[in-house]
This record gives sequence, C-alpha cells and structure tokens, in this order.
Amino acid sequence: MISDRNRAAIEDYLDTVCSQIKNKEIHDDIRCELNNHIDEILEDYLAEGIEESEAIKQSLLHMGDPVHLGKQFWIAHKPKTEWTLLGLVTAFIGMGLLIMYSIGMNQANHDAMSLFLSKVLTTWIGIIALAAVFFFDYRKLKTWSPTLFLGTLVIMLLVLLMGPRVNGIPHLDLGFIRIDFIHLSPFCLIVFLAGILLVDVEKKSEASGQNKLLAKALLLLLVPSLFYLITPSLYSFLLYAVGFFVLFFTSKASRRQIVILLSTIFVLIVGLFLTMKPYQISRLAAFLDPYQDPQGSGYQLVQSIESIRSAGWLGHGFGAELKVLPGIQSDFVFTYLVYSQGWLIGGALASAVLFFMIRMIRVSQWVRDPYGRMMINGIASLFILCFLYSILMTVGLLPPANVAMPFVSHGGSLFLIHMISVGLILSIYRRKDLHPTRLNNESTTS
Amino acid sequence: MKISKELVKGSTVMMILTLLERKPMYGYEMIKEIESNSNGVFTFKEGTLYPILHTLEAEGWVEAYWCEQEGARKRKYYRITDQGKGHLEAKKKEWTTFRSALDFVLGEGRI
Repeated sequence: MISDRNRAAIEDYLDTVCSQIKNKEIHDDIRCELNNHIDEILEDYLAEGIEESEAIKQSLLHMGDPVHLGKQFWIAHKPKTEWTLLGLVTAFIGMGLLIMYSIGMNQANHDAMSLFLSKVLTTWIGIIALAAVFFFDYRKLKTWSPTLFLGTLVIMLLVLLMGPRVNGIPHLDLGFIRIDFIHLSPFCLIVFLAGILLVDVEKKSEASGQNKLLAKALLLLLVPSLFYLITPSLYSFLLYAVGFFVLFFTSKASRRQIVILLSTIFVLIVGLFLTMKPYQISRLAAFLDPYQDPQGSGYQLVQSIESIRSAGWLGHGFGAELKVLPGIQSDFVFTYLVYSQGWLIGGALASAVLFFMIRMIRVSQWVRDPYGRMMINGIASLFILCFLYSILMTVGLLPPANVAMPFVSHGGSLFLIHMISVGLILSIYRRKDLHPTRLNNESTTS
Repeated sequence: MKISKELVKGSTVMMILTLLERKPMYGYEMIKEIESNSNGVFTFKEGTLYPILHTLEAEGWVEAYWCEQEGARKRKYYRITDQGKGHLEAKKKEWTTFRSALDFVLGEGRI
C-alpha cells in the first residue's frame, strides 16, 4: 500500500490538472482516469524494486506537466456554440423584420410602422430570453419536468374554463396582455415530456413496469389531446401528437407500445373528423378544391395561390400591397414574402428552412446525453412541422390553419416560445462534451 | 533518434484509431502498445494521450465507457465508432499519398 504522504503527491498533481478545467462536472471523471494510469505505471516501477517515493516522482514525470495537461483537457471540453443554427435563426428574424417593414409601408394610417416596431421590440425580448436559456443548464429541468407538465395542464384548464375568447380561441389574460396560451402550449408540454418519458425509460426493467409505462404514456397523450380537441385547436393537437410520437419513438419504446400509441393517435384523428363543426368541414372541403367556392370558403387559399403565381421571379417589389389576403403578417407571411420579393427569395427562404431542419437533426445526433437528445428531437419535430405547415399551407398543400412561421411571422408570445426552444437546443449542444462517462459493465473483447 | 513534435502530433490520431480498430483499450494499454510497436520512437508524455482521446470522443470517432471487472481495477475503455473507422480510412489514404509523393521527391521512388 502506498503511504499517505506519497498519495498526497498524486492528489496534488491531479488538483493542478483540474484547476485548469473550468467545468467541475468532469473533474471526477478525469481524476479517476489519470489516477488509474499513474497507478499502473507505479505498479511497474515498484515491481522493478524502485523505492516508493522515487517511483511516484518518476511516474508523475512520465505523465507530463500538469498545467499543460489541464489546459489540453479544457480545450477538449470547452463549451461549444452551434453557430449554424444561430445564424439561420438570425436570418429568419431579419427576413421577418423586412417583411413587417414592407407590409407597414403602405398602411396609410397613423401606426404605419407599428408592425415593424413591435417586431423589433419582441426581437429584443426574444434575444434576452434565448441568451438566458443558453446559459441555463437544461438538465435542471429534468427533475422538475412532471411538476412543470402538470402546471402547464392546469393553466390550460384555467384558460379553457374562464379565459376571454379572441377569435373563438380562449386566451390567457394577464391583465396587461392576452396570450394565446393554448397555441404555444405544445412547445412547453413536449419539452417537459422529454424529462418524464426519460425517467420512465431509465426505470423500466421489470415487465409490469412496461404496462405501467404504457398506461402513463396513454394518459400523457390523451389529457392534453382532449384539451386541444375541445378548444378546438386542431393545429396544436397535430403538433402535440407528432411531438409526442417522436419523443416516445426515440425513447426506445417497444414495438408493441408504439403500435398501441399510434393506433390511439389514429382513433383520436378519426374522432376528430366525426366531431368536426360545420365551418371546419367547409374549410376542409375548400382545401380539397378551393376553386369550387373561390369567393367563399376557398377564398384564402385561392388568393394565396394566385398571389404566389403572380409574383414571378422578382416579385412585385418591396412594400408591395396585398390587400386581398388577410393575415399576411402571421399565417400567410410566406405568401406575402413571395408576392413582394418573388420566387427567388421565396426559394431562398424555403432552402434556409430545409437547411435548418437538417441541421437540427444533425445536432441531435451529435448529442450523447439521452435527455438532451430527446429534448432536441421533440423540439425539432415541432419546428419542422411549424415550418412545413406554414409554407405548404400557402400553396394549398395543407388546409389553412392558425399557423405562424417560426421567427418570421408577427406575434409576441409564440415568438418568445420559439426563441426559448432554440435557446434550449443551443444550451444542450453547448454542453454536449461535458458529460461524465457512463459505467458500462459489458465485457470487452480482449 | 528524436522525432520532431509536429510529425508526431499529426500521426497520433491515426495511431490511436488504428490501435482501437483492433480492440477496445484503456489508456495505459495504448501507451504500452505504441511504445512496443514503434521500437520506442514515440515516447511522448503519457498524460497528453488523454486530452486527445477526449477530443476524439467529442468528434464522435471513439466511445468511452467505464468497465468494472472482478479482480481488476475499474478502467476507462475506449472503442472506435463506425464514424471513426471512416475517418481512419480517409486519413490512411491521405498518408499513403503523402508518403509516396515525398519518397518520389526524395528520390527513393525512382528505380
């Protein structure tokens, strides 16, 4: 056995190495690994009959300068920023600002620039929120996930029961502002769901746990779905169902569970069609053939398609007026973009969107922490759906819905949620190399 | 003969990945292998192996895991990933091209 005094020399060495590594979480891991190595050299020296304190001195010499070593470790484990995603989000916001300015240019009333100015204001708030989440350690959310999930459901319930209605959708009334909470809730629920499902998967070992997990998953799927269906906010339901499925699928659920879950979602969708209100049915019919009633239920779609068609490669110019289509700052922002800037710029934005989607999937593959990866998968699926919907809807490939194009459309609270979601992805990526290595007892081939 | 630092630096990644392609290893094992395979030419400070391994892990070329076996101490093993194998293949090709071109310039490629 090595004496305490000599042990202290090794500890000193390890302390010096770790003092250079600013992230404390990986200290234990690195200490243990280096200590192993030193012990191995030491054993060899002692076996050669070299005296203990001399052997330790030699071993540490072998390892090299501890300060230099610590610095090298710090370089390997430095937090990293996903500049590509950040750059794309900046481009989307820039595009949004331009469009708001363009729309505002021909509003001949006193608040001509109000769209643009409010977008500027929300951009600043969004940047602050994104930065705050970026530096926040997302893993702290894990233990709070069930509480936060439940909290979101409670707020949804309160909004449903007594929220004032704007355009038929109940809002959360905070006194100074009314928030379309139902609309932004899928993002909250999916983020918190990642923590809940992960804990379940980590615990599942016995067969009875499997059924319990399934029952719980069904409950987690059905309760929010019910809320969305009575709102009714079909688009939010779609977001939640897709996000839920992606999360459940990537949590390594068994095939039987996936089949049961998928059929539940299917039954929900069938139920949805059966309980559709007349105006929803006419909307759907209009989507299938908008030209059947171009002045009535097909109006929006026909106007959108015609506007895009008329744009040409270069569009009608900056500040072009598009009076015939309502909602050009929110739902039909893509239509207005193409109408005013032309097919070229529209294609460029669509390509950027495609790049953004691919990049999010890549980022999730680079993250090794299962919790982080699950969260990115969930958020990415919601973003992909939002983007696809907001583009495909304008060309008549999906039925019109209350959809905002993330980062580009006008709208405060939804924009804030999108910024926070991207902040989470960046926060996860930033910490992707900071995780201690897991214990794995599988035997090695040697 | 002492080899210049730059030369060693460029080839450590290749060496490590080649070793790990044969079997998963822990750090001390790798050092021993490198020493015996290179006839003692590569004698760098042993600690520097670890930051390199951690970087390779961040790149996704190797995976690390702690392994606790009975009768042996807890060791951190590294194994190569498919991505790492691809990278090694590319590196080897680059090296062969470089070596034959250099040999040719130095005259050893001529008959």
